[in-house]
Amino acid sequence: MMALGGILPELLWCLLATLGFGVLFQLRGRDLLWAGFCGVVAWGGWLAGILHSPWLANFIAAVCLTLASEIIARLRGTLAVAYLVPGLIPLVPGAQIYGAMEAAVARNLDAALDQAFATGVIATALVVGILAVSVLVRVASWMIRPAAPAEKGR
Amino acid sequence: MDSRVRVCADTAQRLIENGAEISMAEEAAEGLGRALGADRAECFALPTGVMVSLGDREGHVHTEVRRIRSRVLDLHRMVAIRRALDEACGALTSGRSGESGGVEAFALSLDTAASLPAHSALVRRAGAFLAAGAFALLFGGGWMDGLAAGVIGLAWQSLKDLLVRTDRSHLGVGPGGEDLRGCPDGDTRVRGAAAGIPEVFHAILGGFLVILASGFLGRLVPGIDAAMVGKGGLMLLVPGLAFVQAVRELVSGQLVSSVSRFADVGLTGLGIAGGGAIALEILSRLPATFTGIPA
Repeated sequence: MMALGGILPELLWCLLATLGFGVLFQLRGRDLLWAGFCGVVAWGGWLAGILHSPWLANFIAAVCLTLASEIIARLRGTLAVAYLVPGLIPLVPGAQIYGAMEAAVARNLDAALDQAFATGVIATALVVGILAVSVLVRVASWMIRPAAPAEKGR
Repeated sequence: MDSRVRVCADTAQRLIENGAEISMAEEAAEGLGRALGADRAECFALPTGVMVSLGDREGHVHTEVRRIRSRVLDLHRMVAIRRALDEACGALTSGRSGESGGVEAFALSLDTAASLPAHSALVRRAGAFLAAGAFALLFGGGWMDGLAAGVIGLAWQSLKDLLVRTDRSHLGVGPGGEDLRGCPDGDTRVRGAAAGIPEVFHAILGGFLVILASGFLGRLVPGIDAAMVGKGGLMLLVPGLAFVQAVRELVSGQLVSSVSRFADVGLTGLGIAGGGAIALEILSRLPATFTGIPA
């Protein structure tokens, strides 16, 4: 089990990185702070899953992030994407892209392919995680919201 | 009807220009059209254009087509536009505002929301410093790596701002023919005018410069891990927005725009990797340290 002393700094760096990206994406005020919180939630999910596999870690992180974004957006009457985009950045496989480049330049094709494959796996896990929650939220909102008169007749 | 279709097209255009998803822009234009009393409201949008049609009870159809030449990510404006839209639709459907007064009032609040000032260059650079530095630390780097990555992030953001400004002074006019020389840096049209420099070029140049600078810092300053610095700096270039939008548009059934966004993600990723690989190739031919002290 990862020590708490190791987790807390990671969550802090993740918070700062998400806040930095929030600023670059023009967020401000409470929206910026909530975006930072979503980044921390995503990284928390990643840490919980990384003990098992990178694929699961990224899937759990994407699910946690999308759920947190949708819930906060509904509570604050704003858009989920405002929290989802900055919060997702820490999960994007930038380090794996770097690893693939480094291995390719060193003519280590096996390692380059490994890293490129890892990049693809992480991206797929993120897509599946976001997709799953987005579809569930869409279905839930259809069930909660009464159909419009025009739709009832169809 | 003309002013109504115009404001619907404006809404969809402003939303996409500030980074909204296609489905959001389409739903916004159609919802506003219906709230404004149109019998039939249709919107078809792509990342590069919008078509809006409103039909009345007599069967007349009014259509407005807009070309979208510039897209930036401004979540603050996107949220403000959406709030203004929700308020206007609520007021119109509850009868709190009249149809013609509602169009004028919403057009005004749309303009206000779409021209909200962006963060100053200083704040954007601070954001880039914070993001790149924190990522280097998150990937396991030390304080020196975080500081070095932050400096590289700040330098990249400054260069990016400079590229946009140079592009603007070179072009002088915006995509719509408007004079942009007096516009502030954060203006959507100004940032869009930098479309003269393709986004993929930014990715290639960014990947190249970030990796080259991190390699040089690693060789010059003992105790700096060039790989950690490079990874932190590279995170500033990753196409996070396009990735999120591609997935969400896939959920909404927007296949054309979703595929184009995935292509954007792939192209940007290849650009970063290509630029970075050239820099790594150059660095591999240089000595491991410039100071004589082992790295």
